[in-house]
Amino acid sequence: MDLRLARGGLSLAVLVPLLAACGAPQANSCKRFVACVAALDQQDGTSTNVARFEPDGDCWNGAEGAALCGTACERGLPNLTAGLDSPPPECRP
Amino acid sequence: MRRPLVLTAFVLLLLAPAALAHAPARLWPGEVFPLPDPKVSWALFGLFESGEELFVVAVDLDERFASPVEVMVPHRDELRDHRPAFAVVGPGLPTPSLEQRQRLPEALPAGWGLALLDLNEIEPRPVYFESFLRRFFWTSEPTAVVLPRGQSEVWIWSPRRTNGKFLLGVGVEEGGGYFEVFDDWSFYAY
Repeated sequence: MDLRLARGGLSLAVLVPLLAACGAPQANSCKRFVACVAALDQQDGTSTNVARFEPDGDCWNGAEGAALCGTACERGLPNLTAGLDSPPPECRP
Repeated sequence: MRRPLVLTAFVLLLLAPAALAHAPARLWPGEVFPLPDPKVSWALFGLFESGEELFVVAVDLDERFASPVEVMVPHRDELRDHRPAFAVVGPGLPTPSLEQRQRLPEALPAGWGLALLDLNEIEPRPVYFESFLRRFFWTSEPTAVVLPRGQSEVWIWSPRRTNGKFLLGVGVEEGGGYFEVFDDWSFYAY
């Protein structure tokens, strides 16, 4: 009984971190956010590090981060173009 | 032989959520907190005691950098009306509208603009379970903001002049150093 418990515990101890690290797909809101930032960068001659939000970014290492980033991108997208008369097409809803 | 295996498994299970935790730090009113590495995730805790405080986090980046930012409050009845606001301000940022300027806790220095103003007025108020502290928080919801190259600041204040704790979350991935939370567990967790 003790050995089964130990094996079970060890399996869980390996499995839990692995599950926590299972990736999630990039949220559509972040695809739009990344595209909008890129378009604004091209327009303004700037360069922005959006690595977190890109398909292989840290946002997508697990479900919790993915949910956070998906919401963050959705809320952040309108803010990128607030006050702009002609936002790039990539930034439009 | 079996006991060390079980103990090891138990410790690993406890540590697993830590891999996804933000690095903690304490903010104090009247003291600018320089964010050591804005590119990792941080959980910055503070306490409004008079409701008049302004907390300031200084950011210095070598490139424009997009990051999620949100403010959270412990999910307790006495903090139901406690909704700290925050703003990302700094030199060269977009000029705020008159209405935005009026909502800031103090006047912007000359040449400073606004990248994000979150008054934390979202309804209904979302609840988030922080898996490392194992505590529920009300959240303003995260917003992705482009932090400028060079210097900027995050201002946190209490528009309703309410008292209570808050947590400013910056980033998403683990930042390491999360075990510092045990240095002041009674503050961070309660």
